[in-house]
Amino acid sequence: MAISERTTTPAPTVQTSVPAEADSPTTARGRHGWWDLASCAVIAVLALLVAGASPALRTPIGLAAVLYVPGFALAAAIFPTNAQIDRVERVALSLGSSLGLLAVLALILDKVDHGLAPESIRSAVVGSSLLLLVLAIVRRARTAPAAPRTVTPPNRARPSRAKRFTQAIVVANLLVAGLAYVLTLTTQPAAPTEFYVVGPQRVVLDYPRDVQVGEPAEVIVGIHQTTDAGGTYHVEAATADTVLASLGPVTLKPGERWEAPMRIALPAPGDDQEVVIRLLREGQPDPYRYLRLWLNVHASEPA
Amino acid sequence: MRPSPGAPPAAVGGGPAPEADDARWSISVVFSFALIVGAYFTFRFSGRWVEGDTASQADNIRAMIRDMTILSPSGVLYSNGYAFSAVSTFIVAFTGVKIETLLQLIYPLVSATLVLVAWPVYREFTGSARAATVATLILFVQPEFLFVILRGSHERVLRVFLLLSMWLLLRSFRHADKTPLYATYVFLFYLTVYGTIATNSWFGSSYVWALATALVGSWVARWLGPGLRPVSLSTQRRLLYVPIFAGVLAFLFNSYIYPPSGQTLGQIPSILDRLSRLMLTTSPDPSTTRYNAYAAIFDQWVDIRVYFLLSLGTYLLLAGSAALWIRMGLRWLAGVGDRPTLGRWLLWLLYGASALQGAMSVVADNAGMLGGNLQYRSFPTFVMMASPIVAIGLTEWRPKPRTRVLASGALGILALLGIAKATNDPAVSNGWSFYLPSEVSALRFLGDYMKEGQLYWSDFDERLRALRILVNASNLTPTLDPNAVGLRTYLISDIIRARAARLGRPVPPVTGELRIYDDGDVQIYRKRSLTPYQD
Repeated sequence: MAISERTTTPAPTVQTSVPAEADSPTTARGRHGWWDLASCAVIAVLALLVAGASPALRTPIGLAAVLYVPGFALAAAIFPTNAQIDRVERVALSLGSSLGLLAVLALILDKVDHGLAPESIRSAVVGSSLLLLVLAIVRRARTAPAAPRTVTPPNRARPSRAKRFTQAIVVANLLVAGLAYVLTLTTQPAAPTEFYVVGPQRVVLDYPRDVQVGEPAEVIVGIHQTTDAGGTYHVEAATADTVLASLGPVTLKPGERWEAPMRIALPAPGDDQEVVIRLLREGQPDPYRYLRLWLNVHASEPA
Repeated sequence: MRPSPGAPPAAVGGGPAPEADDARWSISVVFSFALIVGAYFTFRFSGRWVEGDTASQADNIRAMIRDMTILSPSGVLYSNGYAFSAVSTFIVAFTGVKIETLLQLIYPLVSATLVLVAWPVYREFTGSARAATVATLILFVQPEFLFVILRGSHERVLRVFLLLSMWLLLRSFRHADKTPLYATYVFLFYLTVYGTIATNSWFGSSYVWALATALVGSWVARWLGPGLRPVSLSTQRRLLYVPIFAGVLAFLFNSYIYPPSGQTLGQIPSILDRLSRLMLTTSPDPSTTRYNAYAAIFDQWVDIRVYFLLSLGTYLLLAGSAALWIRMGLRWLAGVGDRPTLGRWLLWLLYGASALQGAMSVVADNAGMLGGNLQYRSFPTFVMMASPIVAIGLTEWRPKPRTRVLASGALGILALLGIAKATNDPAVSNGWSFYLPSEVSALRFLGDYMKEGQLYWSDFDERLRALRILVNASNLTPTLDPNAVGLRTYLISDIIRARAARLGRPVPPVTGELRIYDDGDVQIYRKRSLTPYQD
């Protein structure tokens, strides 16, 4: 199959830049056989079968089933052999035609109630791919048998230096790209442990502002545990020198959330008193996280 | 070396024809390079990157999946076309991946397949496998092109359609005398044109206009250069109906198939009106104030010189392609050298058409129309045409081995600069697009615990606003104004602090306020209520 500069018969008045026939007649059918159509059919059917499997399995199969197979089937139905297009052109046509078919298919499915539901999408894409593949098989079978395939003895000569260099670059590129991608996928950090305080209505509103001496101000404190490990915590509210309230110990599994009301009563009057709410992790002397409230504490009114 | 009339086109691109196997390896090199770029794009920020269009597309895809229709009744849709959302919906239906995973991790790699589409198109244009390889490589080191195909927008699909439709158009030209084959290519051509329009009707319409411009250019050239008459006649004969049928397709799409797309095109008639108001009045009203598309550049990069250095490849491509395009045209007009091939002639015409559209987009941007970023939007299309023009020049160039090595090294450096620009690398760019997992958690907290209508501030630009949409964290829209009326909640992360230092802008003063959330990297502060009546 010729991918390089190829020869052609120019039109009478205009030079055409690329030849008309991509492959020699001897390769028209023999080059393809049936494996390409069969493998596309397998991918399409597999994509249906693995619908409930994990994304890691479904992703490569699904991508091929959506982005390549429908277009390949269309291209194979239109150009059953390599007589008109070569392999690179077939790949290009497959990728582009897949997208074109999906655009049309989406429009058709949209006219059906719940047409764009996952099941309908899978059935429509796989169904149309298989239909086109059957058409391609019929058309390829009907194509006049090509002349006996020319058997070229394998070239035992060592590839040229330039070619070896090119091959090395390709391999190196693929390794680097693969490594970068694998590193990206495998180094996704877990969600952090969150520590928060909200108002009594469990919203970011109504934080206490003015309280009487000894009158408890109520807030809700919460912990949302990181997804990659469990943890045991204490929560304590304190001014600079006095612990006012404490909760815990609280043991949380990975990803678990805990919330509890906390009542904070200050012993002395005074404006702008800072109350720090600390999250203490078992085994760690320093606070793991901390929050802060400000309260104006008024002297108790005489009864 | 150029072909003489009647000579096989093997010599069109100059130089000896490489072996088919060598060409395959050449494509593999460019393809693997594109894979590296795609992998690096995700690896650079561990897959945690976001920008406005990606977020917006994520929202559209989510709505299509949820409502199971291309015209979501919620009104959340991409007004220019449905194809990208539909393709993404189809992929999600098969793979079960999250939308953000698809956009951030899968699509950048999928974009490498554009190499496999671009190469045969460029071979068809240039008539040379070597020129096609060089053109594809040039295309994939252009930051403006890389950025649009790597991020999570519709452009990767659009570029496939555009490239393939050009290949099909040329093929249909070549087989005009074989009716069944011609009809096949025409059918596939209109399928891809429909795909282009369905992806973005604005770009689709621009493409139709470019083809019409090429037709007119071909007609004019027929009278100017006798040597161009055969190729011009051939082009006209086959191109005459294309803009008409494609125009009808665009009209049907905008009017009946996907009416929201007609709204964008409806703005076009008002461009002249806005421009005249802009030019002819001494005190323009704010709606017609001149839009400066370049104003953001000064804020976007650490230094304007760095910006120009990173854009060096772009400027070289602009200048080089323009010089070669003029030289090609003049030589053809003067009848010097060989007559143009159909592929090169159409490439030359489409280059002129895309350059003209670029010039028109400057006008539209000055009028502040259509988002005010048409120059930026139309440039990747121009790059698609300029790359093969430059590649033709390069393959005709016969440098000494040492110069060749230097030129290859220069291309390598340009590639690195282009990648740095396309990825908005924080070492040189102020437009940071990466985020922390803890920022996602904080946004989700706000979504869960803030009431509808409450305001919050998060970052100096759209970064976390886009992230909120991408991960579907909440329906609350943050404000960018730290002094907005009614604003009392501030999300401050380590990235925001570092960014404030980079930009020389102050972080909102939150030291004496309530600290209501802490996840290690992100804190949320709430201003203390000043009166007992504030909540």
